[in-house]
Amino acid sequence: MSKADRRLTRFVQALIANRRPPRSPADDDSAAMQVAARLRAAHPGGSTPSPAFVDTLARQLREAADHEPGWTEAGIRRRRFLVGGLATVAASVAAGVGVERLHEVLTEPASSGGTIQPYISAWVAVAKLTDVTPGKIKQFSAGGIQGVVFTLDGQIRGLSAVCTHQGCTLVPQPAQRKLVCPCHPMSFNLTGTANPGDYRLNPLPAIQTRVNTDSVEVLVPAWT
Amino acid sequence: MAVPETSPPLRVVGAPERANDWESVYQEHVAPLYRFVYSRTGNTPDAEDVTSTTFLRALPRLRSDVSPGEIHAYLRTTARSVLADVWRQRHGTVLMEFDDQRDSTQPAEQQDEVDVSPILDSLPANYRSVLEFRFLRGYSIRETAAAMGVSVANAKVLQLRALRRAAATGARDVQS
Repeated sequence: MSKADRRLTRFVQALIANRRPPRSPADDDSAAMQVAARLRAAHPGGSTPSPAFVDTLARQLREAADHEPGWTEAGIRRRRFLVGGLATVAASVAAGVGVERLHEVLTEPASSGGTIQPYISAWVAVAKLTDVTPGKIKQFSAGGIQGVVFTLDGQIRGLSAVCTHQGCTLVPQPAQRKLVCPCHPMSFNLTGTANPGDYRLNPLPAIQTRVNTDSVEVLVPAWT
Repeated sequence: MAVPETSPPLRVVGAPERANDWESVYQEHVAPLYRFVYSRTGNTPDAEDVTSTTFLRALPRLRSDVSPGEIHAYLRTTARSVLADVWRQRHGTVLMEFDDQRDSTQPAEQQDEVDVSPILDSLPANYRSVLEFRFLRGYSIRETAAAMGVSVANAKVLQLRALRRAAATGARDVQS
Protein backbone atom coordinates (compact mmCIF):
# COMPACT_ATOMS: atom_id res chain seq x y z
CA MET A 1 0.00 0.00 0.00
CA SER A 2 1.24 3.46 -0.85
CA LYS A 3 1.37 6.32 1.63
CA ALA A 4 -1.76 7.81 0.06
CA ASP A 5 -3.52 4.44 0.40
CA ARG A 6 -2.71 4.26 4.08
CA ARG A 7 -3.96 7.83 4.62
CA LEU A 8 -7.24 7.14 2.86
CA THR A 9 -7.61 3.87 4.81
CA ARG A 10 -7.17 5.71 8.11
CA PHE A 11 -9.70 8.31 7.00
CA VAL A 12 -12.26 5.59 6.20
CA GLN A 13 -11.59 3.78 9.48
CA ALA A 14 -12.23 6.98 11.44
CA LEU A 15 -15.56 7.60 9.72
CA ILE A 16 -16.75 4.04 10.23
CA ALA A 17 -15.81 4.28 13.93
CA ASN A 18 -17.66 7.65 14.00
CA ARG A 19 -14.50 9.52 14.98
CA ARG A 20 -12.91 12.67 13.63
CA PRO A 21 -10.52 11.77 10.80
CA PRO A 22 -6.85 12.32 11.62
CA ARG A 23 -4.97 15.38 10.49
CA SER A 24 -3.17 14.50 7.26
CA PRO A 25 -2.66 15.93 3.80
CA ALA A 26 -5.48 15.02 1.44
CA ASP A 27 -3.54 15.58 -1.81
CA ASP A 28 -5.30 13.86 -4.68
CA ASP A 29 -7.76 12.05 -2.43
CA SER A 30 -9.75 15.10 -1.39
CA ALA A 31 -12.72 14.07 -3.52
CA ALA A 32 -12.46 10.41 -2.48
CA MET A 33 -12.58 11.50 1.17
CA GLN A 34 -15.70 13.49 0.51
CA VAL A 35 -17.31 10.54 -1.24
CA ALA A 36 -16.50 8.52 1.88
CA ALA A 37 -18.17 11.13 4.12
CA ARG A 38 -21.24 11.24 1.88
CA LEU A 39 -21.55 7.45 1.88
CA ARG A 40 -21.08 7.20 5.61
CA ALA A 41 -23.80 9.78 6.19
CA ALA A 42 -26.25 7.60 4.27
CA HIS A 43 -26.11 4.74 6.76
CA PRO A 44 -29.46 4.19 8.44
CA GLY A 45 -30.21 6.47 11.33
CA GLY A 46 -26.95 8.34 10.95
CA SER A 47 -27.92 11.83 9.96
CA THR A 48 -30.33 12.90 12.70
CA PRO A 49 -28.88 15.17 15.39
CA SER A 50 -29.11 13.70 18.87
CA PRO A 51 -31.65 15.40 21.16
CA ALA A 52 -28.85 16.06 23.63
CA PHE A 53 -26.92 17.96 20.97
CA VAL A 54 -29.97 19.96 19.85
CA ASP A 55 -30.64 20.83 23.46
CA THR A 56 -27.07 21.84 24.28
CA LEU A 57 -26.75 24.03 21.19
CA ALA A 58 -30.08 25.72 22.00
CA ARG A 59 -28.67 26.58 25.41
CA GLN A 60 -25.45 27.92 23.91
CA LEU A 61 -27.40 30.09 21.48
CA ARG A 62 -29.64 31.35 24.23
CA GLU A 63 -26.60 32.24 26.33
CA ALA A 64 -25.07 34.07 23.36
CA ALA A 65 -28.33 35.87 22.60
CA ASP A 66 -28.61 37.01 26.20
CA HIS A 67 -25.06 38.23 26.63
CA GLU A 68 -23.65 39.28 23.28
CA PRO A 69 -24.62 42.78 22.19
CA GLY A 70 -24.33 41.84 18.51
CA TRP A 71 -27.50 39.84 18.77
CA THR A 72 -29.66 42.74 19.83
CA GLU A 73 -28.18 45.17 17.32
CA ALA A 74 -28.86 42.76 14.49
CA GLY A 75 -32.39 42.55 13.21
CA ILE A 76 -33.19 39.09 14.39
CA ARG A 77 -35.42 39.22 17.40
CA ARG A 78 -35.88 37.25 20.51
CA ARG A 79 -39.16 35.67 21.20
CA ARG A 80 -41.25 37.58 23.69
CA PHE A 81 -40.76 34.82 26.19
CA LEU A 82 -37.66 32.98 27.11
CA VAL A 83 -37.42 29.42 25.96
CA GLY A 84 -38.77 27.07 28.56
CA GLY A 85 -38.09 23.36 28.52
CA LEU A 86 -35.31 23.17 26.01
CA ALA A 87 -35.08 19.42 26.32
CA THR A 88 -38.71 19.31 25.29
CA VAL A 89 -37.86 21.49 22.32
CA ALA A 90 -35.15 19.04 21.35
CA ALA A 91 -37.64 16.22 21.61
CA SER A 92 -40.12 18.14 19.45
CA VAL A 93 -37.52 18.66 16.77
CA ALA A 94 -36.60 15.00 16.81
CA ALA A 95 -40.21 13.93 16.67
CA GLY A 96 -41.16 16.49 14.03
CA VAL A 97 -43.86 17.95 16.25
CA GLY A 98 -46.05 20.54 14.54
CA VAL A 99 -45.45 24.25 14.72
CA GLU A 100 -48.44 24.85 16.99
CA ARG A 101 -47.01 22.56 19.65
CA LEU A 102 -43.61 24.18 19.36
CA HIS A 103 -45.15 27.56 20.02
CA GLU A 104 -46.66 26.21 23.20
CA VAL A 105 -43.34 24.80 24.26
CA LEU A 106 -41.47 27.98 23.45
CA THR A 107 -43.83 30.25 25.31
CA GLU A 108 -43.55 28.39 28.58
CA PRO A 109 -41.84 30.58 31.14
CA ALA A 110 -38.18 29.92 31.76
CA SER A 111 -37.64 27.66 34.67
CA SER A 112 -34.93 27.95 37.23
CA GLY A 113 -34.83 24.76 39.17
CA GLY A 114 -38.27 23.27 39.62
CA THR A 115 -39.26 19.90 38.28
CA ILE A 116 -39.16 18.94 34.63
CA GLN A 117 -42.74 18.42 33.44
CA PRO A 118 -42.63 17.34 29.80
CA TYR A 119 -45.85 18.08 27.95
CA ILE A 120 -45.66 14.67 26.29
CA SER A 121 -43.91 12.33 28.64
CA ALA A 122 -43.04 8.72 29.26
CA TRP A 123 -41.54 6.74 32.10
CA VAL A 124 -38.25 5.30 30.97
CA ALA A 125 -36.14 2.80 32.92
CA VAL A 126 -32.64 4.22 33.29
CA ALA A 127 -31.05 2.19 36.05
CA LYS A 128 -31.30 -0.96 38.08
CA LEU A 129 -32.28 -0.43 41.67
CA THR A 130 -28.88 -1.82 42.64
CA ASP A 131 -27.19 1.01 40.69
CA VAL A 132 -28.66 3.69 42.91
CA THR A 133 -27.90 2.40 46.37
CA PRO A 134 -26.71 5.16 48.76
CA GLY A 135 -23.29 6.47 47.76
CA LYS A 136 -23.81 5.89 44.01
CA ILE A 137 -24.80 8.36 41.30
CA LYS A 138 -26.04 6.84 38.06
CA GLN A 139 -25.90 8.89 34.85
CA PHE A 140 -28.52 8.51 32.14
CA SER A 141 -29.57 9.99 28.84
CA ALA A 142 -33.23 9.53 27.96
CA GLY A 143 -35.80 11.43 25.94
CA GLY A 144 -33.37 14.28 25.32
CA ILE A 145 -32.52 14.68 28.97
CA GLN A 146 -29.09 14.16 30.43
CA GLY A 147 -29.58 13.37 34.06
CA VAL A 148 -28.53 11.48 37.15
CA VAL A 149 -30.43 9.32 39.61
CA PHE A 150 -29.29 8.59 43.14
CA THR A 151 -30.53 8.01 46.67
CA LEU A 152 -30.81 10.96 49.04
CA ASP A 153 -32.31 10.73 52.53
CA GLY A 154 -33.65 7.28 51.72
CA GLN A 155 -35.46 8.47 48.59
CA ILE A 156 -34.57 7.93 44.97
CA ARG A 157 -34.21 11.25 43.21
CA GLY A 158 -33.37 12.55 39.78
CA LEU A 159 -31.64 15.73 38.67
CA SER A 160 -30.75 17.25 35.32
CA ALA A 161 -27.03 16.82 34.74
CA VAL A 162 -26.73 19.87 32.48
CA CYS A 163 -24.94 22.79 34.09
CA THR A 164 -27.22 25.83 34.30
CA HIS A 165 -24.32 28.06 33.29
CA GLN A 166 -23.38 27.03 29.77
CA GLY A 167 -24.87 23.59 29.31
CA CYS A 168 -21.82 21.41 29.92
CA THR A 169 -22.69 17.91 31.12
CA LEU A 170 -21.95 17.59 34.81
CA VAL A 171 -19.68 14.81 36.09
CA PRO A 172 -20.86 12.88 39.15
CA GLN A 173 -18.48 12.66 42.09
CA PRO A 174 -20.25 10.14 44.32
CA ALA A 175 -17.64 10.29 47.10
CA GLN A 176 -18.12 14.06 47.51
CA ARG A 177 -21.88 13.73 46.87
CA LYS A 178 -21.80 16.37 44.17
CA LEU A 179 -21.93 16.98 40.43
CA VAL A 180 -18.94 18.83 39.02
CA CYS A 181 -18.91 21.01 35.92
CA PRO A 182 -16.08 20.07 33.54
CA CYS A 183 -16.08 23.54 31.97
CA HIS A 184 -15.74 25.83 34.97
CA PRO A 185 -14.87 25.53 38.66
CA MET A 186 -18.44 24.94 39.81
CA SER A 187 -20.36 22.10 41.34
CA PHE A 188 -23.89 21.27 42.47
CA ASN A 189 -24.91 19.31 45.54
CA LEU A 190 -27.46 16.52 45.39
CA THR A 191 -30.37 18.82 46.21
CA GLY A 192 -29.58 20.54 42.88
CA THR A 193 -28.26 23.74 44.44
CA ALA A 194 -25.04 25.24 43.12
CA ASN A 195 -22.23 25.13 45.63
CA PRO A 196 -20.65 28.52 46.36
CA GLY A 197 -18.01 29.27 43.76
CA ASP A 198 -17.00 31.66 41.05
CA TYR A 199 -20.46 31.82 39.49
CA ARG A 200 -23.94 32.29 40.86
CA LEU A 201 -25.99 29.67 39.11
CA ASN A 202 -29.60 28.63 39.00
CA PRO A 203 -30.38 25.29 40.63
CA LEU A 204 -30.65 22.12 38.57
CA PRO A 205 -34.18 21.07 37.60
CA ALA A 206 -35.41 17.94 39.34
CA ILE A 207 -36.56 14.91 37.37
CA GLN A 208 -39.42 12.77 38.61
CA THR A 209 -38.47 9.21 39.47
CA ARG A 210 -40.26 6.02 40.42
CA VAL A 211 -39.33 2.42 41.12
CA ASN A 212 -40.84 -0.25 38.89
CA THR A 213 -39.99 -3.71 40.28
CA ASP A 214 -36.18 -3.67 40.19
CA SER A 215 -35.77 -0.70 37.81
CA VAL A 216 -35.55 3.02 38.42
CA GLU A 217 -37.66 4.97 35.94
CA VAL A 218 -37.64 8.68 35.13
CA LEU A 219 -40.34 10.86 33.59
CA VAL A 220 -38.86 12.32 30.41
CA PRO A 221 -40.14 13.74 27.12
CA ALA A 222 -41.61 11.05 24.91
CA TRP A 223 -40.21 11.04 21.43
CA THR A 224 -39.99 8.35 18.82
CA MET B 1 -38.41 37.56 32.12
CA ALA B 2 -40.88 38.45 29.39
CA VAL B 3 -39.19 41.06 27.23
CA PRO B 4 -41.74 43.31 25.54
CA GLU B 5 -41.10 43.85 21.87
CA THR B 6 -40.50 47.34 20.62
CA SER B 7 -42.56 48.58 17.69
CA PRO B 8 -42.65 46.02 14.88
CA PRO B 9 -40.51 46.64 11.79
CA LEU B 10 -42.16 48.21 8.77
CA ARG B 11 -43.59 45.59 6.52
CA VAL B 12 -44.92 45.68 3.00
CA VAL B 13 -48.69 45.45 3.18
CA GLY B 14 -49.81 42.01 2.13
CA ALA B 15 -46.39 40.48 2.66
CA PRO B 16 -46.50 37.18 4.47
CA GLU B 17 -46.03 37.27 8.21
CA ARG B 18 -42.43 36.66 9.12
CA ALA B 19 -41.43 35.88 12.65
CA ASN B 20 -37.69 35.45 12.43
CA ASP B 21 -36.89 35.15 16.09
CA TRP B 22 -33.84 32.97 16.44
CA GLU B 23 -35.66 30.23 18.27
CA SER B 24 -37.95 29.61 15.29
CA VAL B 25 -35.06 29.71 12.86
CA TYR B 26 -33.16 27.25 15.03
CA GLN B 27 -36.14 24.93 15.41
CA GLU B 28 -36.77 24.83 11.73
CA HIS B 29 -33.22 24.53 10.48
CA VAL B 30 -31.22 22.57 13.04
CA ALA B 31 -32.12 19.10 11.77
CA PRO B 32 -31.77 19.82 8.02
CA LEU B 33 -28.56 21.78 8.53
CA TYR B 34 -27.12 19.01 10.67
CA ARG B 35 -28.00 16.51 7.94
CA PHE B 36 -26.28 18.69 5.35
CA VAL B 37 -23.15 19.02 7.49
CA TYR B 38 -23.13 15.36 8.46
CA SER B 39 -23.20 14.35 4.81
CA ARG B 40 -20.01 16.38 4.33
CA THR B 41 -18.19 15.21 7.45
CA GLY B 42 -19.45 11.63 7.85
CA ASN B 43 -18.86 11.60 11.62
CA THR B 44 -20.79 12.89 14.61
CA PRO B 45 -18.09 14.94 16.43
CA ASP B 46 -17.29 17.03 13.35
CA ALA B 47 -20.96 17.36 12.37
CA GLU B 48 -21.87 18.68 15.82
CA ASP B 49 -18.96 21.13 15.92
CA VAL B 50 -19.62 22.50 12.46
CA THR B 51 -23.37 22.80 13.09
CA SER B 52 -22.75 24.66 16.36
CA THR B 53 -20.23 27.03 14.82
CA THR B 54 -22.56 27.69 11.89
CA PHE B 55 -25.51 28.69 14.06
CA LEU B 56 -23.40 30.71 16.47
CA ARG B 57 -21.89 32.58 13.53
CA ALA B 58 -24.96 32.96 11.32
CA LEU B 59 -27.83 33.67 13.70
CA PRO B 60 -26.57 37.02 15.05
CA ARG B 61 -26.11 38.26 11.49
CA LEU B 62 -29.55 37.34 10.22
CA ARG B 63 -31.86 40.27 9.65
CA SER B 64 -35.43 39.86 10.77
CA ASP B 65 -36.97 40.59 7.38
CA VAL B 66 -35.26 37.96 5.29
CA SER B 67 -37.26 35.24 3.58
CA PRO B 68 -37.15 31.57 4.59
CA GLY B 69 -35.24 30.84 1.40
CA GLU B 70 -32.64 33.43 2.25
CA ILE B 71 -32.21 32.01 5.75
CA HIS B 72 -31.74 28.56 4.28
CA ALA B 73 -29.17 29.86 1.80
CA TYR B 74 -27.31 31.89 4.41
CA LEU B 75 -27.04 28.95 6.79
CA ARG B 76 -25.76 26.76 3.95
CA THR B 77 -23.21 29.34 2.88
CA THR B 78 -21.99 29.75 6.44
CA ALA B 79 -21.81 25.97 6.91
CA ARG B 80 -19.79 25.63 3.71
CA SER B 81 -17.33 28.22 4.91
CA VAL B 82 -16.97 26.50 8.31
CA LEU B 83 -16.52 23.14 6.57
CA ALA B 84 -13.86 24.65 4.34
CA ASP B 85 -12.00 26.00 7.39
CA VAL B 86 -12.04 22.61 9.11
CA TRP B 87 -10.88 20.93 5.92
CA ARG B 88 -8.06 23.35 5.33
CA GLN B 89 -6.81 23.02 8.91
CA ARG B 90 -6.93 19.26 8.85
CA HIS B 91 -5.97 18.33 5.32
CA GLY B 92 -4.08 21.39 4.11
CA THR B 93 -6.00 21.79 0.87
CA VAL B 94 -8.84 23.89 -0.41
CA LEU B 95 -12.12 22.02 -0.15
CA MET B 96 -13.71 21.50 -3.53
CA GLU B 97 -17.17 20.05 -3.13
CA PHE B 98 -17.05 17.17 -5.50
CA ASP B 99 -20.70 17.12 -6.55
CA ASP B 100 -21.94 20.47 -5.38
CA GLN B 101 -23.42 21.41 -8.73
CA ARG B 102 -25.25 18.16 -9.06
CA ASP B 103 -26.84 18.87 -5.66
CA SER B 104 -28.05 22.28 -6.68
CA THR B 105 -29.95 20.92 -9.67
CA GLN B 106 -32.14 18.85 -7.35
CA PRO B 107 -35.36 20.24 -5.92
CA ALA B 108 -34.78 22.00 -2.61
CA GLU B 109 -36.68 19.49 -0.52
CA GLN B 110 -34.43 16.68 -1.71
CA GLN B 111 -31.19 18.43 -0.89
CA ASP B 112 -31.48 17.58 2.78
CA GLU B 113 -31.68 13.86 2.09
CA VAL B 114 -28.44 11.98 1.96
CA ASP B 115 -29.06 10.12 -1.26
CA VAL B 116 -26.01 8.22 -2.42
CA SER B 117 -27.65 6.13 -5.11
CA PRO B 118 -26.23 8.34 -7.90
CA ILE B 119 -22.75 7.63 -6.52
CA LEU B 120 -23.31 3.90 -6.15
CA ASP B 121 -25.23 3.39 -9.39
CA SER B 122 -22.33 4.72 -11.42
CA LEU B 123 -19.96 2.01 -10.16
CA PRO B 124 -19.18 -1.58 -11.19
CA ALA B 125 -20.91 -4.19 -9.02
CA ASN B 126 -17.95 -5.17 -6.83
CA TYR B 127 -17.11 -1.53 -6.11
CA ARG B 128 -20.71 -0.87 -5.21
CA SER B 129 -20.78 -3.91 -2.91
CA VAL B 130 -17.64 -3.01 -1.01
CA LEU B 131 -18.91 0.51 -0.37
CA GLU B 132 -22.34 -0.71 0.72
CA PHE B 133 -20.86 -3.19 3.17
CA ARG B 134 -18.33 -0.78 4.59
CA PHE B 135 -20.22 2.51 4.73
CA LEU B 136 -23.92 1.75 4.71
CA ARG B 137 -23.77 -1.37 6.89
CA GLY B 138 -20.64 -0.48 8.84
CA TYR B 139 -18.99 -3.87 8.28
CA SER B 140 -15.35 -4.29 9.30
CA ILE B 141 -12.85 -5.06 6.56
CA ARG B 142 -12.82 -8.69 7.71
CA GLU B 143 -16.62 -8.94 7.57
CA THR B 144 -16.67 -7.22 4.21
CA ALA B 145 -14.08 -9.62 2.84
CA ALA B 146 -16.06 -12.60 4.12
CA ALA B 147 -19.33 -11.27 2.69
CA MET B 148 -17.74 -10.70 -0.71
CA GLY B 149 -15.69 -13.87 -0.76
CA VAL B 150 -12.37 -12.05 -1.23
CA SER B 151 -9.22 -11.80 0.88
CA VAL B 152 -8.87 -9.13 3.55
CA ALA B 153 -6.04 -7.50 1.60
CA ASN B 154 -8.22 -7.51 -1.48
CA ALA B 155 -11.15 -5.90 0.33
CA LYS B 156 -8.86 -3.18 1.67
CA VAL B 157 -7.64 -2.28 -1.79
CA LEU B 158 -11.09 -2.62 -3.30
CA GLN B 159 -12.65 -0.03 -0.96
CA LEU B 160 -9.97 2.53 -1.86
CA ARG B 161 -10.32 1.93 -5.59
CA ALA B 162 -14.10 2.19 -5.30
CA LEU B 163 -13.88 5.52 -3.48
CA ARG B 164 -11.41 6.93 -6.02
CA ARG B 165 -13.52 5.76 -8.93
CA ALA B 166 -16.65 7.31 -7.39
CA ALA B 167 -14.74 10.55 -6.82
CA ALA B 168 -13.57 10.63 -10.43
CA THR B 169 -17.10 9.92 -11.67
CA GLY B 170 -18.52 12.73 -9.53
CA ALA B 171 -15.94 15.16 -10.88
CA ARG B 172 -16.83 14.24 -14.45
CA ASP B 173 -20.51 14.81 -13.74
CA VAL B 174 -19.76 18.30 -12.51
CA GLN B 175 -17.84 19.17 -15.65
CA SER B 176 -20.42 17.76 -18.07
